[in-house]
Parts: sequence; C-alpha cells; structure tokens
Amino acid sequence: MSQRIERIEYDDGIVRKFMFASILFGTVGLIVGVLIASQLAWHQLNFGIPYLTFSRLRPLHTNAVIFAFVGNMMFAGVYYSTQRLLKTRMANDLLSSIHFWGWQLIIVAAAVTLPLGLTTGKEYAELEWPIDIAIAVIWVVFAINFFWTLAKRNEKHLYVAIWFYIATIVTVAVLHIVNSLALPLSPMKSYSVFAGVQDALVQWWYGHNAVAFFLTTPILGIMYYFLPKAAERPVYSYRLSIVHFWSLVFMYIWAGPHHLLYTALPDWAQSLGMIFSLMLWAPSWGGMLNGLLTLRGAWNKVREEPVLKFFVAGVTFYGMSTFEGPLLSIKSVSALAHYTDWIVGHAHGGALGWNGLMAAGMFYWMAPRLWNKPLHSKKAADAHFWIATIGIILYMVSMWISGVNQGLMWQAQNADGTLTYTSFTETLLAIRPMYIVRALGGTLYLTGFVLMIWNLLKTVSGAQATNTTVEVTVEDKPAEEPGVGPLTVIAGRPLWFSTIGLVFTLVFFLVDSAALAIGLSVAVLVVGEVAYVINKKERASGKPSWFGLVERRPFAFTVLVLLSVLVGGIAELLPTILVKQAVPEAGHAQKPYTALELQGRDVYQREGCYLCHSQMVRPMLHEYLRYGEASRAEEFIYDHPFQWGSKRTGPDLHRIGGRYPNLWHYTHLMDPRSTSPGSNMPTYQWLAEWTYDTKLAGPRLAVMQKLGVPYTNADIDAAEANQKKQANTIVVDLAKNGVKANWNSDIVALIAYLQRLGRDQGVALTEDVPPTAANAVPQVGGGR
Amino acid sequence: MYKQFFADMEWTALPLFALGLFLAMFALMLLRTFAWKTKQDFEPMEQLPLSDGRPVNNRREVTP
Repeated sequence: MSQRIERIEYDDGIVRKFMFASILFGTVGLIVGVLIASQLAWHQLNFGIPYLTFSRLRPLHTNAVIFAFVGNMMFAGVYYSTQRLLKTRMANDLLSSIHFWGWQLIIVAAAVTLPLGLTTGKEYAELEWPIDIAIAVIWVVFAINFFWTLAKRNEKHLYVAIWFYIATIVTVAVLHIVNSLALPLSPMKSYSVFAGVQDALVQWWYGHNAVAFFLTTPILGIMYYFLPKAAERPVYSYRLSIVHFWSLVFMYIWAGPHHLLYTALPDWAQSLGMIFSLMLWAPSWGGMLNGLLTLRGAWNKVREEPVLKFFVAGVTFYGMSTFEGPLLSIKSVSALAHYTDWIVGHAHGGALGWNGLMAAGMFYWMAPRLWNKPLHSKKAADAHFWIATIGIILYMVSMWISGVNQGLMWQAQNADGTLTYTSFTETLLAIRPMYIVRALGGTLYLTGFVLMIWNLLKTVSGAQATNTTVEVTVEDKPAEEPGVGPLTVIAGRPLWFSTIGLVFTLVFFLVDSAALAIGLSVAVLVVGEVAYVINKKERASGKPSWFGLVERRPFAFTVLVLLSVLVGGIAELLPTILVKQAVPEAGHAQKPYTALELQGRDVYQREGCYLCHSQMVRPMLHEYLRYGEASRAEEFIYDHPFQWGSKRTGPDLHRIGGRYPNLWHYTHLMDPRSTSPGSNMPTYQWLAEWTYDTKLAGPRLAVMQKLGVPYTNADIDAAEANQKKQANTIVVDLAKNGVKANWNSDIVALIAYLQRLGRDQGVALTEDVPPTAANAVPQVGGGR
Repeated sequence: MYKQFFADMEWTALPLFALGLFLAMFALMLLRTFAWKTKQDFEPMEQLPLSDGRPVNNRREVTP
C-alpha cells in the first residue's frame, strides 16, 4: 500500500452561504416567535390582519426555526465537517449550489404561502404539495452530493459524525415522502391520502422523527465533530458513540405515538410509543455524557472559550430535553401535561437550548476560520451566552408553571363532582402572567442572537473570505480482502445470527408448547455462543471485525441504517393502515361531510384553528364533564387530514357541534371576547367578507371520493347546489337574529363545519338539523 | 407459547416487563462494548476530527 501527499482546497463558500442563511432566517424565526408569544398575552397584537394572526404566523415560526434556521445551520455544519472528515472537497460544486439556492427558494415559498393560509393543516408539514415536491427534489440533490463525496473520499474510515449524517439523509427522505402523500385539489390545495387515526399516526411518526432526525441526529453529528475540535481532545468514548448511534436510530422511530396518548389511537400503539420513549432515555443520555465527558481534564477551557460554553450548555439542554421527553411520555404524566404549555416549554428547551446554543457555538467556531480573522469580541460572545441562557430559563420555567397550572385547573373537580373551573377562560386568565414572562424570555434570547450577529459582522468586516487548503496523506486504495465485498458485509455473520434470533422470536409467538419454546431459547443461546467463538477465532487470526468492515462501506452502512429505521415504522404504521378492515361496521355509521362542511373544514385549516383547538376528547371524567363523550376512532375515518391538534390554547372542539346556535359562532368569530370574556383568540372579521370558490364543491368531493370517502357520483354532481342549500339555512337563521351574511362567505361554511363536529351517530348530542337559537343544547358544566 | 408466557401477566405489567428487558439488554450491550479489548480498532477513528489535514499557508482568497 503506497501513500502520497495530496493538496485539497475545501469548498468553504457553501459553508459561508448556509451559515449566513441560517443566521438571517434564524432572526426572522425568532422575531416571529416573539411576536406570536406576545399575541398570546396581548390579543390586540393580531391587529385584525389575516396575515398577521397567531394561527397563521405560528406555522411560519415553526417552519422558519426548524427548516430555515436549524436546517441551514445543519447544512453548514455538514458541509464543513464532511469535507474535513473525508479529506476531500464536496463532490460537485454545482450540486452544492443547487442545494443551497433550492433550499432558500423553498423557505421563501413557505414564508409567502403560510401567512396566506395555504396549508395542508398538518403540524410541521404544512407546506403544500408543489413545495413538498421541491423539498424532495432538493433533498435528493443533497443526498447525491453527499454520497458522491463519500465515494471519492481520501479517508477510509467513516467517523461517527458521518454516520449521523447518513441516518439524517435517509430517514428524513422516508419521513417526508410518506407523510406528504396527498391528492391535489388545486395548484395550492391538497388532502392527505391518510385519514383519521392513520393520518394521526403517520403525522406523529413524521412529527416526532422530524425532531429526531432533523433536529437531533445531524446536530449530534455536529457535536461529535466540533466538540472534540474545540476541546482539542478526542471524544470521550468512541465505543459509546457506536452504541449511542445504533440504539438511537433504531429506537427513535418507534416513539411517535407518545404524542397521541389517551387519544382514539389503539392502546397497543400508545403503549409501544410510551415504552420506546422511556427506552430512549438510555442512548440519549449515553450521547450526552459522551459529549460532556469529552471535556474531561479541559473544563478550565470552558471558562475561557465561549465556543465551549455554548457547546456544554447545548449538550446539557439536550440531556434535559431527553430526560423530560420520556417523562412526558409516561401516560399518567401525559394525562396532565398533554395539550398544555408544558409541552411548549419542552419543545423550546430543545430548540432554543440544544439547537440554538449548538448553532451559536458552531458559528463562533467557524466564522474566524472561514474568514481567517479572530473573533471580534469574546466578551460579547460571553454576554450572548448568558443572555440566551437566562432567556431560555425564563421561557421554560414560565411554561412549566403555566402548563402544570393549566393541567390541574382543567382537572379540578368540586366535592359534588362538578368542575371547579367551568369556564375555559379562567385557566387562560390564570396563566397570562406566565405568557408575559415567556415573551420576555424569548425577547432576551432574540437580544442575545442580535448580539451574535453584531459580533460576527464585526469579525468578518474587512476580512477576506478564504477557502481552507490542506495537505493530507492519502493511502492508495488497498485491494479488497478476498471474499469481502459489499454483499459479504450485508450478509455477514452478525446479520445472519440476528436474523436467526428474530426467526426464533417469531416462532416463540407462533408455537404453543413450553418445551419447544425452551428448546428454541436454548438454540438461540447456542447460536450466540457459536457466533462468539467464530468471531473470536477470526479476530485472533488478524481479520478485521465485522463492524470494522461495515463502518468503511457507505452503501452497506446506509442499508443497515435504513433497515433499522424501517422496522419501527412498518411495525407501527402497517397495522393501523390495515385497521380500516377492522372497523367497517362502526365506520359505515359515519356520514361523510357535506360539500359546505368540507369547505368550512378548508377554512378551519387555512386559519390554523387546529393550532389552538384540539378535536379529541380524551376518556377522562373531567374531559367528559367539560366537553362530552370521549372521541372514538371511527368518528374520524373521513378526516383527510385529521385535525386532532396538539395544544389547547382554546377548548377542545370535537363536541362543539350543536352546543351553541349559529349566532353564537358568528358573534364569537367576529369578536371572541363578546361571547367569551378573557379569551385571547384573534378576531376573524374577514371571514364574513371573504367568499370562496363555490365551483370547487364538486371537484373537492371527487378528490375525497378518490381517497375512499363514499360519495356517489350524484353527490358530486349535486355538490354545488347542496352547498348553497345548506348555506342558506344558516343564512336564514342568522337573519332571524338580525345578522346579514352571504351564503358563500367563509364564515357560513366554517359555522356549518363547526356545527357538524362530533355529531355523528352514536353521540349523545346527535341532531340531524343544524342547531338554531331555539334548539341549541344548553351548556352543561363545560364553559368555553 | 406466548399465550402461556403472558397468561398470568397483567396488561399493566407488560410494558414494565418490556422496559426491564430492554434495560437488561442495554446494560449487557454496554458491558459487551466496553469489554472489547480492541480499543486500538477505534483509535484511528476517534482521532479523525483532530487530524483533518495540515493547513497550507497560501489560503486562497475567494470572492464573497
């Protein structure tokens, strides 16, 4: 094997671009975050402008922070570290450029469409189908460039950071494509191919793993590269990083259903989600400790070096979030915390603490190296660190207090069994001070961020951007060991033994004899022993370990990662997708939405009502007292997409149908405080003025028919006429109370949808006629 | 077989059993990992971030 010296000029330009984009969009995301946090404390800040309402800006905030800020930061870190770890320039500069500009165009498209209300109505996956396709295309471009770089690398080993990047690229592609499957109605409106429970499970399989594989694994890769660099010592335990990686990628994918505890999701899926969430504690903390212990013997550097301060705090917040996440996944804890601000605090502990501080540390590390000039002010960086940390603590503590308060107030019952706090707004008024503290915490974090921008601008001003050039020692590719090709690796002994073990496990579930089962268990032990002996013999003869072979083969490695990820996804999703066959009897009792109700449902999604109102009454006494009968799976079989929500800033709406007259809804939407004193809901006065395209009624039903909703062709042909007919009954009812409304206005459609909710057969409140002032069901205990 | 195995187990005990099984497996895996007498296998890899090439002095300036 010969060696040669090779000179490599890294493409640092692409790193600078992604870094700049991350800081720019991070600022936007944080400003919008502070605005919407303030809107919850002061509803007047919605300004009565559709495009500035909380419910439209909240998706903009989450998309900006996740995909624009963290996404661009992640790409900057990946491009910087990958080139250096593989000792080669990125494979193709053009692909890098397409990736960068394509991603920024997607972000701009999101920034335009989300305030306009163009949304799929699925949290963290709100972007409509043309943008979804663009995301998939650009992600493929990134993947090609990345794997091409792996193929032409000058370093035979793949460092653990590269593994995390591989897992990110592969899994995000799978998640995005599956969750975005939709049928278009128009150029900017589509409906999820999944419905109800299936859609909920797919959505939170995606949603939770967006956190796992977009906000966690790539940042862990960044941690494993930048932390040793900054500490000037190798990672504490490379072996622990192997355990961390494989257990994390295998387990994370199963944890999604913990977002759906006590919902209509089958209980087995809930328990599975909870258990895997608890299991995640172990690898997550293994990774955190591996990061922190890397600083052993170098803690004095943390005092002097701002970069390390950010990294240490970031990793510590990772540890806190990954402790709190499993805790919140325990069903009894979830019963209190779900739908409350506690979850918001948890999410921001991860986003601001883990992602935000790691990003800042990385920027402070990279900027002096990318511009070949020392950091302008370490003191300013230190100040940023403390301001940001205090901001995060204010944010998290206020949300803990607010969340626990909410949960307890919703549950509180008097000695006679009635609710203590009958009006939902009582809880809202109680937590308002915490909303103000939260807005203050967010403002502090933003202030620190602006300080960083100033510091970095001063650092790069007057400096010339440079591309790093290095000389590396390159080994000419050694000849493959005889009998060891990619196929050999994939079909290597460990995999065979694992497969045999899995087969025995399956037999355990199929055979009905204790003796046979014991025999099989012994057989498994024998197989394990044989594997151990063979492995020991081969290692003694000087052959590389199986893992040693795998870790340097990107293809084999990627296949194994994909398998690890797919096992959990398939095991959870498949039975729920097939469950349709198990509920036809109950399902047939459900009536599909009318054309007008579907139109109203579109308005509901467009305005982002699902971001503050759930549609899922949990099987708990206090929820029954406040909202009515618990929601059942079959009630959602025609919900493309599901609208269960994940937060109750306002009350649950699943049993709202028939509770109030049309006039109440009209008045409430026009001025929420006139019907619900103390509410922080924005006014939606434009709904009375805006009209919808009535001609879409038929095509909308046709799309739903293709998705499996049992509309007849006659239903589709008569959709437009029926839509008008139903709208007129509401218009006439409103007119009796002196309110003039256009039959084709958004507000009439939305009222029709709200009046339909929770009124399918089997529900106590079922009424076939739309409620009027005369026939409204009086409110019992469950004040809104 | 699984029916006999689970026959006397309450549903509430099943997740706890699974959790216990996992923790035991995880502990065994850690033991196995750290019992490897092959630290030398990983030394070249853990040094990678610290040895990403000898910088050349003539850094090429690029147009921003």
